[in-house]
Amino acid sequence: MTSLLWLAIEVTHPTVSIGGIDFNVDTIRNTVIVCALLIVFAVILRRQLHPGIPSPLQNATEALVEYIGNLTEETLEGRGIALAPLAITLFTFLLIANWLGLIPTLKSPTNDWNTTLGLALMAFVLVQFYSIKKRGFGGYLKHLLLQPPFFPLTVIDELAKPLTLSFRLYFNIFVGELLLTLIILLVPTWISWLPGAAWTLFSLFVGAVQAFIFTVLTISYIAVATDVESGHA
Amino acid sequence: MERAIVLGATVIAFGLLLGLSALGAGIGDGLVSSRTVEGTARQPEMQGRLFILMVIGIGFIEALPIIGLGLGLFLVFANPLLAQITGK
Repeated sequence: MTSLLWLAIEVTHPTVSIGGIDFNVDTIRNTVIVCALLIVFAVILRRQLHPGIPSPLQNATEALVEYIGNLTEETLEGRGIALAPLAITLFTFLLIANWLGLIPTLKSPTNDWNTTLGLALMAFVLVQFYSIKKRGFGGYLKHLLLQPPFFPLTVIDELAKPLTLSFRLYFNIFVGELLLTLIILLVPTWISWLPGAAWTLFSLFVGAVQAFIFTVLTISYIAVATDVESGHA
Repeated sequence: MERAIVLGATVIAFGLLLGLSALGAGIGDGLVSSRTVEGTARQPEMQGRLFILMVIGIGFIEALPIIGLGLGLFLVFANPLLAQITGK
């Protein structure tokens, strides 16, 4: 266990080894909590659904779904790819996941590089899949080998995308929660609620922005990879 | 002795990393916000869209010093360079 020296803040995750693979127990538990919260929310929303005047909850959800859905369709215009469900799911999952860590005793699933890298690899596979589907396999190889920035640079560019995508989300959440713990430990108790509250509010904002950025970037990477007509893809 | 040198150098590197990345991000944030204010002054009806674009831009910019801070904390607290010296 690596801890931050004298402060004894645990920065590693407790693991269980099953069949030679280490599983981060707390991350898995928190991911399940996020999924359960989302499912409960969806069930409640479904029960409230009725014709006539929509409830506030329904209004808010419709606004969110419409906004992200329209954004996705605008970004992927004329490509014949429908990814609005993916974008909305990704955004709501990341939003709840980023905010979960602000509840004391709980941690964000995105506080673990494995989660964000997994999501980023999903985006990476999607980008390659749609790229091959759009160009055909020959065209894909041609794009990889013969397009102007040329072979090594194109490959590095493709590989850097999931890496930066995952790092951006992971470090934002990780550092946010670490600083919250540091504030609680280092600031005298009688005043620590003040910087604590300020940083929590800022973390709420950062969590929402990073969830949105992750979603938008996933969609726009796919949009760039399938943009054959304008030639700079 | 070697240990002290490595520790000192690590802390100096951490300071440089944080300071320079915060400097760059501060300049970037300032540029984005000032252009948003200019755009809003020119076309007040665009304020909503400009604000969202500004927040996305700031999200990108702010991610860089935070990635730097994360890597720096890793350097300081789980020092891989020190492990090379002590050989474990």
